[in-house]
Amino acid sequence: MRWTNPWKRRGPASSSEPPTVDDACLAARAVLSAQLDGEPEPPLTEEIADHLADCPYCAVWRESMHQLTRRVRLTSARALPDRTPQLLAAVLVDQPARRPSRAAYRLVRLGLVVAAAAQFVIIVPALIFGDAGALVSPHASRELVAGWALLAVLARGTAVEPAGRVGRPGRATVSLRCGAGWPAPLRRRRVEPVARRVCDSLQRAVAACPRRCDAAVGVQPLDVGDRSGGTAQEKSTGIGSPRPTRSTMRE
Amino acid sequence: MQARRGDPAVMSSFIRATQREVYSLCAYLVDEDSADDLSQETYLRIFRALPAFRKESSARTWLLSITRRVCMDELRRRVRRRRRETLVPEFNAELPGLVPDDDHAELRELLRQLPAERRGAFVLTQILGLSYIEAGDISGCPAGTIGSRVARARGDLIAALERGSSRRTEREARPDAMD
Repeated sequence: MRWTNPWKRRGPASSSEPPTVDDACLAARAVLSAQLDGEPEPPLTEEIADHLADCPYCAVWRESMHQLTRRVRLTSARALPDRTPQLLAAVLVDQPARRPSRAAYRLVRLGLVVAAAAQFVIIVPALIFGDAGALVSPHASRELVAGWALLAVLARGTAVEPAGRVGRPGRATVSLRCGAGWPAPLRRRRVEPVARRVCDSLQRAVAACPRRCDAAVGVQPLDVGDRSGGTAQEKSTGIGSPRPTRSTMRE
Repeated sequence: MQARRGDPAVMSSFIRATQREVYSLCAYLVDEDSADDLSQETYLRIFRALPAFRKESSARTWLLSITRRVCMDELRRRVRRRRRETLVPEFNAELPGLVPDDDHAELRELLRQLPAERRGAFVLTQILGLSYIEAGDISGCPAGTIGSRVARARGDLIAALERGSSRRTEREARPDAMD
């Protein structure tokens, strides 16, 4: 489309070139441009309206602007080749490996909930009622409770950042300890030390569990060694005294 | 939003529906030779960022703002390269001699003479047909600034066309003078 210069058709005869625009012309042309695009800004003030009525250069500019806009819209509307297959191939190559779907995650979580519920049903009666009516012995149930609680705390601590960021080792590899990987808000509120103390207590409970259970059922602990003290009643009943060795048993 | 799930059929229809605008913006903001590569780079960035898209703006505005960012990155890269390669002539030095016959190529060459910000505002509003507000969201500036840039871009283009028209008239008049 050939450009026809409106200035040469309508401009003042004294000059063949458009004059340098001043601020008033710029403001008026911003209004003309926005009006052509159907935009509300900037508002047409009385001053600008007067300028547009008086300035022959802006009148020519308005005509040129219409011609330019028509030309741009006609020229830019053209058919382009469909590059969808190439673009899609590039995108698919770039996509990371598909993660398991949300449904798969839900299924795994449901399985864990069912397992936890089953453990609860088995353990709690043994803890409350003792041997009567329990599916497992109180000793085994205590071990299970302590063990699972400890495992849950450790798993939570290591599962926050299991793989580690790029270039850094994962927390799972460097901190298999209680309290590791607690989120920042919890650390700020000093929850982590408390959690660590709870966790240490659990560990101690697990370590002490066999000894307590042995004591409860009347079996002598293995490691009393030189702790030869004990009350007369303990000595007479055998509780608290060293476990009989093979030699003493022979006697 | 369905393209988030990674279904190739949905991704394909998303690309088919949007590729024209992405390609045009790349071609006008940078150049047609690089538009293919820039479109591809844009879609890679879009699908990487798609899970984080929170519908705070329209999908079209979001898509075009990423496209514009890709183009600006490319322009900045070229400026840096040009600074390094001091023997390469100035960017605008080649423009006066280039007056292609093809209307589309001529328009592209005219737009290339505009400063990047004015060119962006002009392409978004006049070629892609966005409103000043949408163009402002994409460019990260108020709608009034877009209006001002569009008006100035129009002024620059009109001046360039008038200069070209004058040169053509002179060229046509010269053989007559020789006679």
